[in-house]
Amino acid sequence: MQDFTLTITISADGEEVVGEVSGMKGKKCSDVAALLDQVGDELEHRHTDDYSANEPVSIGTTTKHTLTIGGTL
Amino acid sequence: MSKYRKMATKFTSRVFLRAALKAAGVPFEETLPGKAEKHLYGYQDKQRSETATFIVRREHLTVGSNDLGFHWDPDSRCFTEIVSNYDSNVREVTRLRQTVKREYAVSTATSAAKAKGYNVVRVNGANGTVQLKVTGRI
Repeated sequence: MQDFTLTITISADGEEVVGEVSGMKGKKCSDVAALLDQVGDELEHRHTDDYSANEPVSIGTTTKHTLTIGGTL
Repeated sequence: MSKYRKMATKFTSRVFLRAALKAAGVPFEETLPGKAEKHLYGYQDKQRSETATFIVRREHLTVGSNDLGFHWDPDSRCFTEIVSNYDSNVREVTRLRQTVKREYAVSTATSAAKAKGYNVVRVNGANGTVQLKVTGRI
């Protein structure tokens, strides 16, 4: 999961709508930008280096503790 | 920034066009789905051949204006504006049309974002632009 910001700028005459996704890495930004599909027809799109970057991967760690009570094994 | 998209606004939704006309604050008539569109009238009360689903009658525009309409085109599957040559050059009518289009884009984008559970904040720019800040997790 990644946090994102989609900044949508609508021109004063309403003719043009521009959407810019930021804060994300990887191709999922296209899912966010897809919000604009219902607005109208696409005129232009481009990707930045962040689009090609790998999405962040979370790595979990576990620590194992062994407790020996008295005696020997 | 990871993705940039530029769109041209297109009136494809009755629901959002209705919301945009309400947001523009102008009285309008709407033909219900399945009913025949109503005729537009010119400034001399002459019925025109054009029909529209949404009509802003001329008395709500300016002296000398004709009706302003939004006609459903089944071929392109979108509403097209019907505006007279005279009204195309009238500042108040142009401003209204721009407001409707702008609010249509705002309603459409806001609804799509909220349907996904995202947060939306609207900021009105000094030059008439509108910015929507959509935030969330994906």
